[in-house]
Amino acid sequence: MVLADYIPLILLTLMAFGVVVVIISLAQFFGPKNPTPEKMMPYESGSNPIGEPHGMRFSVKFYMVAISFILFDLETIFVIPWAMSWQDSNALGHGFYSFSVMAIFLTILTIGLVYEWSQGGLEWD
Amino acid sequence: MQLLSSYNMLSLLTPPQGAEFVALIPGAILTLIALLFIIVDVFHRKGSSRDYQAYFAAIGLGLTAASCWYLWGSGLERPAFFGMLYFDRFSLFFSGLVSISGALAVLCSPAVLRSNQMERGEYYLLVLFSVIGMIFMVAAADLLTLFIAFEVMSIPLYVVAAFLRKDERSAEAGMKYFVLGAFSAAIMLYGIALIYGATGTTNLEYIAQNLEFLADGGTEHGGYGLVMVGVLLIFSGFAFKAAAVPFHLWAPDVYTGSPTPAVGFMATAVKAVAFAALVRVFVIAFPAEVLRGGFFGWGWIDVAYVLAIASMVLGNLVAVTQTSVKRMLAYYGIAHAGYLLVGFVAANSHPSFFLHNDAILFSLIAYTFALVGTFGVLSYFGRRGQAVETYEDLGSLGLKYPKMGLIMSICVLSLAGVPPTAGFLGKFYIFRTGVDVGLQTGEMALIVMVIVGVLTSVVGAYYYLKVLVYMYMKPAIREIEPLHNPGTKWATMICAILTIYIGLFPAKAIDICREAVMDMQGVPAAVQATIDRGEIELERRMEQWE
Repeated sequence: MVLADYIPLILLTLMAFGVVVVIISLAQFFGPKNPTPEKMMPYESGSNPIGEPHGMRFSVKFYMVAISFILFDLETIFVIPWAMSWQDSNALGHGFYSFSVMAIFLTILTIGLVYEWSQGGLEWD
Repeated sequence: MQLLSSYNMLSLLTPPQGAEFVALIPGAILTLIALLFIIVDVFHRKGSSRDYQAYFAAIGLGLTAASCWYLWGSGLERPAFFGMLYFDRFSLFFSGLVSISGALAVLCSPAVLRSNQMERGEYYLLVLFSVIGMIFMVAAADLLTLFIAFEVMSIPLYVVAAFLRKDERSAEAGMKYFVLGAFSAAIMLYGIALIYGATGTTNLEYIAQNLEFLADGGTEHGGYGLVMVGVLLIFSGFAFKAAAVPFHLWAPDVYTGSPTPAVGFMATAVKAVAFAALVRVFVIAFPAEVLRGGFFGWGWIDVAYVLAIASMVLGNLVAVTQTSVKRMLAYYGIAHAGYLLVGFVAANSHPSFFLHNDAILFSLIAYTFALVGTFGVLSYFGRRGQAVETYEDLGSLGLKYPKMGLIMSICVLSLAGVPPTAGFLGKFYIFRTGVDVGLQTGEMALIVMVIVGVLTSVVGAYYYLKVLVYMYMKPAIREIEPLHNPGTKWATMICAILTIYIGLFPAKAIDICREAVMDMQGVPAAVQATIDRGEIELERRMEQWE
């Protein structure tokens, strides 16, 4: 194990911290401030995270958002590795096969989206 | 010697052979139908009747069964898609059976859903998705394919169980099924993980090879105890789906609360698939001979033996005390899991009895038609608020509705195992298997198991005859208005006719079961030798016949 190998990793960590500190402090000094109670809450997908865990109720609409998220999240998870390795597949002469496999997958997901849309899953009210 | 691994980087980039895609046909047909069904459901005009959707789903399932029939002769020698799916008559048999079971169940459904004000297209869609999972589960050649298919099968069924959401008991059924089912899936997955840890692969055939290697090397390699625990955990996952004691507690409540026609499907198809996967996984990956004595001197075959006796005794005895007909059928389902386990234990105790597995398949055919028919008739009298629940509710229904009464009688007699119905032959083959194997090996335990089975099925005759007594000899206690649904009439009639037909002319059905068992791919060498001997024997007999 050579320590020099980890220098990029350390640099990345430092930069990540640095960017966050810079952005937050810039917002602190130059940003406009007109606070409302909702804005002062810690971020927890719209529900108040401080208080009794049992009595807290939140809208079932969030589940619909979560389900839509899964739909698109899955799409990303599978499409990005596919896009990364399509070149290799094409080089072996199987480009059209790889393409059609992904086309079938996307068609199935799209039908899921059509169904969600028709059931009103994309409307908030 | 290195442990074998099926993982091959290049295989991920090369497409499968063109011929391998035939393995997808039954599943692909049903997937296309299900996707088409979503589109149809999206463009459905609100307020109009949804009866056509039941026929659409039933036709789709019928097409799938027909494709299995059409593909009967075209199996693949090797598992398709880099060791993921077997495509043989064994998987085609079960794909066809569950499709037919699903088709008959959805035909019975529309009026029940309308009466419960839950007429929605999703119900049929969920049944279709569940059947897709079953089709891939019976074909799985890898524990991971198996597990994913297992979940594709189970999750829609949890929703189906809770489908009548205005009914508390349906919600209870859905909740119980979901919580316990999720636990059983997790337990099975843990078993798969342990097997992977011990053998380094999830492919069934490689597991078998690596197990032999572990057995040869003795226990200093470690991992042999791990294998036994993993095997038992996987076994309990299947036993849960098959509702065998002690994993049966969900069955009565779920069967009582779920939509009645769907219960017919859930009780038969899930049990069939659980046993198909049980036979496939345990014959290929965990041969009884290799694993005998690995677990404090016991093997999984002994565990299955205890479960078989416990299921038969508890299922039948508790069914006697039930007042609700659906609960009684649920407890009979538990007992039937016991009968099937009798066949499983006998046929898989030694590789040379492998061909006796056809008794399980035949018994499942008989059970499927009889039980779907029974639940179909119950759903015919399933109007919300007036549904038939107890034996008293059945009072003189047989006289008022002679056709439905006749169908119910045939199905119930088949479940009780009275000749000349298919159910009698199913039980007969199962018990004969036990006696044959017991006599040939001299294992008294198997004979004892069969004696327990016969005695408990006498108990079973009592509560099934009680149904007939109430239907024809007791007065009606209240007015029951049936749900007029042509699909129910047709589906239950098909069930009754097939039950009688297979009972009278079983040769064709037995041939199909035997071919399905003989064609199973990927079996270890000892089992393959048995199959080859069986084929020679069969040819010799055919020549003598001519």
